[in-house]
Amino acid sequence: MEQPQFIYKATDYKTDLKPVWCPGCGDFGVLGATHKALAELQIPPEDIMFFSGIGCSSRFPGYTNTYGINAIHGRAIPLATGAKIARPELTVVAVGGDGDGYSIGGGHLPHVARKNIDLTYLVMNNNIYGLTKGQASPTTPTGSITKTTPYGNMDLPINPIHYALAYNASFIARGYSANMKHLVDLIVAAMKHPGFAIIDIISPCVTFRGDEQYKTLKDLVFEIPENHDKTDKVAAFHLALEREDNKIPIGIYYQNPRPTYHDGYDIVREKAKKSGKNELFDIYNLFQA
Amino acid sequence: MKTTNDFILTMIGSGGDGVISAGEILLSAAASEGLFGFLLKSFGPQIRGGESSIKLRISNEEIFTQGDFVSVLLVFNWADFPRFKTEYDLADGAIIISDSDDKLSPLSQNLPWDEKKLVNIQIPITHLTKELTGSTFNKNIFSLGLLSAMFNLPSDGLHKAIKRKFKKKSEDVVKSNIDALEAGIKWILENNLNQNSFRFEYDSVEESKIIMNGNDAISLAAIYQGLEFYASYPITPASEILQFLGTHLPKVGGSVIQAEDELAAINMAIGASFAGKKSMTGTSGPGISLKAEAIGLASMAEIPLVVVNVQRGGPSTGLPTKFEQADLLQAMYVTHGDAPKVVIAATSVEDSYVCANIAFQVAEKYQIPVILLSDQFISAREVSLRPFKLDKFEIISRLKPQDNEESYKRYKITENGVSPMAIPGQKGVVYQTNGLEHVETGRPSSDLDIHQKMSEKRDLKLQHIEKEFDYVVYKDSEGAKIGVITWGSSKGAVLEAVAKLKKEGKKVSLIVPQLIFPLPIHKIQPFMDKLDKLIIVEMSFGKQFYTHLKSQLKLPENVIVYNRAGGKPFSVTEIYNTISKNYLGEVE
Repeated sequence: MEQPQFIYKATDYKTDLKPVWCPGCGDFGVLGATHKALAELQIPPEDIMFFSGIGCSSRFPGYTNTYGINAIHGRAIPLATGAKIARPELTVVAVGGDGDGYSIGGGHLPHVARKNIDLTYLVMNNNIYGLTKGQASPTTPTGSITKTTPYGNMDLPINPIHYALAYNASFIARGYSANMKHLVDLIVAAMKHPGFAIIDIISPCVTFRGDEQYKTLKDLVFEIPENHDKTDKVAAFHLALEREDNKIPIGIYYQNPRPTYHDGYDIVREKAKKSGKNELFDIYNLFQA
Repeated sequence: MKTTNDFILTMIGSGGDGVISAGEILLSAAASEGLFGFLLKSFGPQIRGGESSIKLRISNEEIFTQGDFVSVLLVFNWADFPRFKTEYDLADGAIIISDSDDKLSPLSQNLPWDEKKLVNIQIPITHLTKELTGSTFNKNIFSLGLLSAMFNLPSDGLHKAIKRKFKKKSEDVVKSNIDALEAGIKWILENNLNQNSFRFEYDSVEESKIIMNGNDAISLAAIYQGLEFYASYPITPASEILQFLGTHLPKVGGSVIQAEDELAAINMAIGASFAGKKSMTGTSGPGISLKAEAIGLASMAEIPLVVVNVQRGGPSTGLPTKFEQADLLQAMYVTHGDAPKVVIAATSVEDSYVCANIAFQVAEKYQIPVILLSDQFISAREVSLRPFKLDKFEIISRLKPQDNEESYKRYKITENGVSPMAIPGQKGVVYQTNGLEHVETGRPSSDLDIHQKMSEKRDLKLQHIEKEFDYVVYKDSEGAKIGVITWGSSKGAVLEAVAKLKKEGKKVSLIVPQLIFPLPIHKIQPFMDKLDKLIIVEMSFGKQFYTHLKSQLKLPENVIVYNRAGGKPFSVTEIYNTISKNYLGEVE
């Protein structure tokens, strides 16, 4: 019998659990785009693991019909790292928000990037803490009024693209939850990328940042021109600078594959085994007087 | 001349004196001749170089401690002495050997011992080494030659140990060290200095021994149980596990990762275990404080995990290179909420192998985090001990569902609280789980009845573990009215003290639980019920073990807690004196 070309549909990656998200939340778009991307890649659901920390968007694994865990705040990346090193043959995705990934879990980003762990990290960036109902996040613009910045936010927001560039992430992109087709393509490209791939996704919080965002964002986002050299780090840095017209480029800022952690660890294993004495008993024998 | 089969040597010197290396070589020599040995190393605060000292006890009978009283003290450099003087006690009649080329001498010191009971010997060690070996480089080995001839220390073993130690360098290095050893022996014989007030004698010994420390033993057990993933952040005194596994685990196919911090380390291990691999993380007390939240996740999501805590002196940064038993309550109550977890405590190097095996068995069978407690006193000692069988423990792996199992529920309520755990890659049993309270499928729920039911499910595992893994060391003395309970590395001194009392015809019972939480009450309560008086021995200023026992057991009316803040391990003498002073009952 002839093997059908497509086995898995986008809906096969969806669970029947109803998201807790507010109507109009950008995360719905990201969830849909992710399921479509998985269907495009035809990865069997049982061969995928999703990891998340805490936050609205961190509920994601519960809505995705793959193996997954909605764990503790800020630790999606180390959980995903451990899982990928343990099972390099499986697909690993970490998901979460800007608070989870750039604030409480921000210390992990340099290390997953420099180790080049082969996983995809989707950050649903809404500039606010939604689950705890409206406090400032590390990407909240300066001057913004939130529940914890009643007189205006004093801090400069983090620039996630610069952050990722500085840490040598090998794939760096920005998406927008309302540009579904573009986002699906980005997620597909990130998952195909061998190594650590991060997509900072603008995912509006309509409850705490207002639904007029969609109107303004529509005019602000534009696709990165095709002539942008994705291997040029300096060009990527320039592209990610704040612009006078406030416009936001979306697409792949930087992509430059290099050997992954797993490639490196295969060499470590070979070196370790060089003595030829690789049984437990050989190791025990090292203690003989 | 007196003979002894229990010989304790201390050496003190500066960085270049090679004191540590000499101690290791003598331990290796003793082990290769089948002797038991117990080596402790002590360092000044310098990262490299600086003063150091060793205490080495050798005997042809099994020993459980480093021994109390030093027989021979060799000091290369009296300027280094003050740092160590509170660490050691000298036996009456002990011999102090000094390098007479040193500017200072024992006479210049305010010695904390009765000098009339000590014998001072001056040997121009530096000068002789230069004259007889051509340089001062092998002063430590030359000194081993001196000691060997003076006190009958195993010279065949020393030859063997030197060859073993230096063969990797070159034949020349081996030869120059053997020459230095022999020069030392020869000089003593030529100068008739081999007639001292005592010498080491031993009759037949058993087969040759192995030399190991506690961290090695934990690592070996982990590999034996099928460890496939270890993540850790460097910390004293647990880093050796990371280093050992980093070298050896890849040989058997596993992976080791040095994480960016303690939180990453434990979460990586949880991720790897979720992905289906046996996983472990290791640290010391400060690291456990940081790992607390993730231990709760492993408990809630029922993910098998072994967490090693090689305890050091606390709180905060505390005494990083000293031992204490003050992380006991932390281990039991480390995270928020009612989060079932298991605490197992190793009592010696050999027992570290035993307890690490049990830790994996429990973690895998019951899908629960297990905190394995060791401490600096176990991890930093090098002991010569009987070779042990690696495969005396069953290798236990988690229960898995069949692929495509009908209406699979990850957290199905069962008789012992254990539900099959699907492994990513398995078809038809895909699940999503949570640190949130959840129903049997793993889906989140804040329903109060569910929270009650699932709390019961997780707790049920503890009730089974208490019966199934009720490991204790128990030495009952029929008719004893007094008993001692201790835990962890304090067992050694208590064992020797009780043995000494037994020789005097005194009856003392002893119990040391390795399963600390849940405490095997069915074994320990009957022990307590037989006693009129209980002595609790623990190295915790805050009496943490006493607090734990009191919460779990009905203790005898008369309880004495023998405790203090950590740093210096208990001596056999102080435990012996405590029991003697409180002794109840007849003497046979």
